Amino acid sequence: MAVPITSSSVADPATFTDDAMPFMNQLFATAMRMTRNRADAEDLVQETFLKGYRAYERFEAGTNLRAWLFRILTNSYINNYRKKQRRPHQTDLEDVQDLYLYRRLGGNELATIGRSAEDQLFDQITDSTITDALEELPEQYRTAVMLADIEGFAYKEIAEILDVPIGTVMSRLHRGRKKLQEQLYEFGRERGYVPDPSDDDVGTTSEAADGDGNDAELTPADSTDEAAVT
Amino acid sequence: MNLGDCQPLQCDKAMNCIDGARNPLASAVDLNQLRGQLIDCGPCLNAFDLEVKLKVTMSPSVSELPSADFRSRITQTLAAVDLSKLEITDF
Repeated sequence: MAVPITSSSVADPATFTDDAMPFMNQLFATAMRMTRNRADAEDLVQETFLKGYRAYERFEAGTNLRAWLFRILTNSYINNYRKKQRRPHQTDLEDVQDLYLYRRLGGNELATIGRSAEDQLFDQITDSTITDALEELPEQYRTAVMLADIEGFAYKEIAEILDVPIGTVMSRLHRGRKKLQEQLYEFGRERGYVPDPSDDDVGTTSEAADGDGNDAELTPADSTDEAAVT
Repeated sequence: MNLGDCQPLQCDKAMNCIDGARNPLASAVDLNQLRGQLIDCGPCLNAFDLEVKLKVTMSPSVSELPSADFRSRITQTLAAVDLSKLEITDF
């Protein structure tokens, strides 16, 4: 038997503006990361607000409005903008070590130079650098990393936003983060902020042989603890 | 402290904590709690701190804020729009 929706559980469209406007800055910042263009970001955010307003009576009051709005934003971006943009070149997300930056900058083998190189690299990383590095990621990984590491969404929220299982979110994050770190390290290396890698095993990793495919699911028990899966 | 003896990649506890480290500027996750789980292992703690530092660095700058004009335009649009005539086909 279906549970009737009571008036108290349904959001009131009359309050949408007051409820949603506090999330404007976060939505716009993410839209800027996605579109790299202020005019397109404004269009995307405006579309998000109009869609949200139109559908607000379907939103369950008291649940996660921020995640709901980001779901609209993400879907709108995928539907309207992604096809217009150049596709990022294909990257092999398996071919990167875990903890890439740590290994290159702060790992045991580079402990003697790690901290200064780390500081120098981070001092030089700009918004544009981050955006460039994100753009190198395939879309599904890029969106997951943005939602988690920039917007701070929990795995469960990202799963709801992207409409994929939590394990898929964790898998995309794990691989996306590794590749992002490699991109940032390369940025620093090309500019001389960090040392050239020696002819060790960076980029040819043992875990690459783990074999779980391009978008295989992880389980919370496999890769994170309860504190992380919130 | 167990400096130098641990390989973070081989430490499940560290990897769990590091994967769980989110942007402290944007989330309410208790990073101190996660960090506390690594307090006995220097390399793992360094790796964790580096991950957090990267996420803070990734936070958008103030230059990516919407303009006041745009905020005003959205507010005015929402006030003026007739919901009954607003058709959304790809929500």
